[in-house]
Amino acid sequence: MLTVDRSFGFLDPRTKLLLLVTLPTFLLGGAGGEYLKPFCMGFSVLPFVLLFISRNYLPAVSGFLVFMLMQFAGMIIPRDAGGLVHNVFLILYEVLCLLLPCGIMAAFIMRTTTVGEFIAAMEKLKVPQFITIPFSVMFRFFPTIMEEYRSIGRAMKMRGITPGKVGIAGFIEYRIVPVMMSVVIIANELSAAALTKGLGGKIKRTCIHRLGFGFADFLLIALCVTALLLFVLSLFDVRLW
Amino acid sequence: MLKLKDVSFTYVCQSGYIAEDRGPVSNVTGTSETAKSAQSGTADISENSESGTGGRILNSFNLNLKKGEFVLLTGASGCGKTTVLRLINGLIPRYYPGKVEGCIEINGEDISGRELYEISRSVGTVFQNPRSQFFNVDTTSEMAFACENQGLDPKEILKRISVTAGKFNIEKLLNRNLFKLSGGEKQKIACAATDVTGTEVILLDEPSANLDHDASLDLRRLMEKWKSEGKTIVVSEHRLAYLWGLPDRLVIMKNGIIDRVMEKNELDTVTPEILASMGLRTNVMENPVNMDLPDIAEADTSISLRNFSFRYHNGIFRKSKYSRNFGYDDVRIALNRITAVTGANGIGKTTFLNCLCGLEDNCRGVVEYDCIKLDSRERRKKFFMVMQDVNHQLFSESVWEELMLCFTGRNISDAEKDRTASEVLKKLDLYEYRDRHPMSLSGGQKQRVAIACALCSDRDFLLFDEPTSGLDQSHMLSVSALLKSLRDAGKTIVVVTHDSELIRCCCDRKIVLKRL
Repeated sequence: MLTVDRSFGFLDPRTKLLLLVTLPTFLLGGAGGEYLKPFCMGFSVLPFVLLFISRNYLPAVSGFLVFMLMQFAGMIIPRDAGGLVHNVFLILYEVLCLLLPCGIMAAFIMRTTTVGEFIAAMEKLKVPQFITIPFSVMFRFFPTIMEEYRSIGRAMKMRGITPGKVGIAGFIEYRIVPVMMSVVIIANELSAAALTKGLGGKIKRTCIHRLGFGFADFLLIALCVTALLLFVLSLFDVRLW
Repeated sequence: MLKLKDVSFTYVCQSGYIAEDRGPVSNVTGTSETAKSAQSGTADISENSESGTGGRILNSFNLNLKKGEFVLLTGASGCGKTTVLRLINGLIPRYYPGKVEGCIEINGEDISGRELYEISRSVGTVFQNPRSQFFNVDTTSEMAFACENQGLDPKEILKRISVTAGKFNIEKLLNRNLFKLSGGEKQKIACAATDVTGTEVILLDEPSANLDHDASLDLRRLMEKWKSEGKTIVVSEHRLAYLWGLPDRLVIMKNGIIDRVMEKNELDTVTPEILASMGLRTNVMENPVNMDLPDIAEADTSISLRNFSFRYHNGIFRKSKYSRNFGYDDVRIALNRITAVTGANGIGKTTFLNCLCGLEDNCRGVVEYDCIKLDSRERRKKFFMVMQDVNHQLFSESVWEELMLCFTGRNISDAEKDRTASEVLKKLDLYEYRDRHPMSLSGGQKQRVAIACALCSDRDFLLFDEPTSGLDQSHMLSVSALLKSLRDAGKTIVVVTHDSELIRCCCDRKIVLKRL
């Protein structure tokens, strides 16, 4: 009997969705400020841990090292040196520091969620099809866009089209326009193929991937909910510490 | 089982090239009067030589298939083969709009009032292009996809998948990332996905366009299994050889009508010459790997590839288990000759070209030309590749600008530029299209624009990646003629191909890539 590889996605897609909302809220939105700093630190490390557990050892470890290095750099960079360049650099650094965990989280979710799981999860959350289907196509489209983008980059290299020769604007145009072209063509053919497989019918879909919350799910959901709850309470000046 | 009665179709033009990359819209007008009709006792396919309906893609098309029959549709590009398949699977007029007349019946039921998802229960389709027919990222999900849409019980779906995987011998391909499979493997998954659905009618639209010799034989085996199971099959295809012997009927189309129908007994006596006289490709299978061509002759001057190797890295993420690496100690490519590069799907032929062209960073080794070592950067100035998807290498808003782009950064006077560009365009029959947008041209014309760029940027080595995939006989011959004329103009040409007919027509030398 065939089994579906569960190690592929050990978290329920709904948990991942919650993480995808919670992480930026605290890291980028800065919810809770100093008060919820411990949570922020936890959330920063979490994506690397998840990536590691899902057997993406190399990016997990190297990503974490980069992150730690940046943290360390943050400690030794003088904060009050003044000057425009210094400030711009500082802002860029801060944004990168906060963005990195969110980016890693997104990468983790993209790599470990199958389209089928995603659609099933969205259906359980009663999200209508006209939202689910475009989003589900996205999962498949990132690798496609990357493939097309690389191929076009090669063609430009061969033609000798460099920013030096055609200008930055021209370079971007030459790179982006053909990508858009082929993406539109592929999207068109893809929709046709999906329709001949009965996507978008009036029948309730099933899913070969078993959805369900496990221990890890409960743990992470508890973490997210606690953090969000503390944040909401802190808005009403209710603080635990 | 499947019946098309007096079906006509008129295309409602969507926004141009986006809807159809190489579609029937541009080159079909009217119908041919000289069509012959054929009829036989059990099957009745006939055609109505009504003429003078411009813009129609299909005209009074009749096709009647009994359960378990296998019909092969063929004919020049744009003859309406794909349209027939789209009418049967319901994409026309539900996805590609247009005016449909006549009646299409599946299992005795008229499908005109049916929704696509209802038709999908009885008709499964395998498409030409593997990059745009998968909705999922992993193979198992893709095989389950259609059944999930039908709302079948997951246990039943998994059971079906394992049955299909056993039948097609593809257990190894389960739970894999589709983006890491070779063209042949992808097409197997596409067939397997259709098989899991268990539809009675199976349509295949040029399924072998991107497949090599062995992979197309594998495809044939899958079709044999379907035939023995009593599936009703319609294949649209240019390459007839790998299928030969399977079809119960060959339907040759021309300008939207049936030109000729050949029954099984007639097919058994057909020779490649008869097919060629009808503008069709050969029915004799030939493995390019075994073709009798030298890789290099004594008298040839050549360039040498020494210690050429490539390692496939996978970005910052985990290195793929299925990475493709290759290495060659000493490969020589004859100057001023056409060299064919062949080898199985997924062996790294395209990567080989990329390396030769100096486009891969992970490529080691040197290319020696006239005792001078060329590194990647220098190779980029001497080599030019016409990619399999030429859309990727055309950037400008007109053909003329495209050529002018080749001159940027070089010290040439405007008059000289104009003269060279006009000359090249005239030579390639593109002069009248010089103000057109490259994307509005046909596939063959785009290919020639890319070649024009190579000529204008004064490259000595022209590399072609599958220039004839999905081309009919006449287009294949014109590519072959073009390659010969480029060779005679002093260029060195390397063609990656598994089209044995093209090799037979024009190649002088042959290199076979093998797995390490």
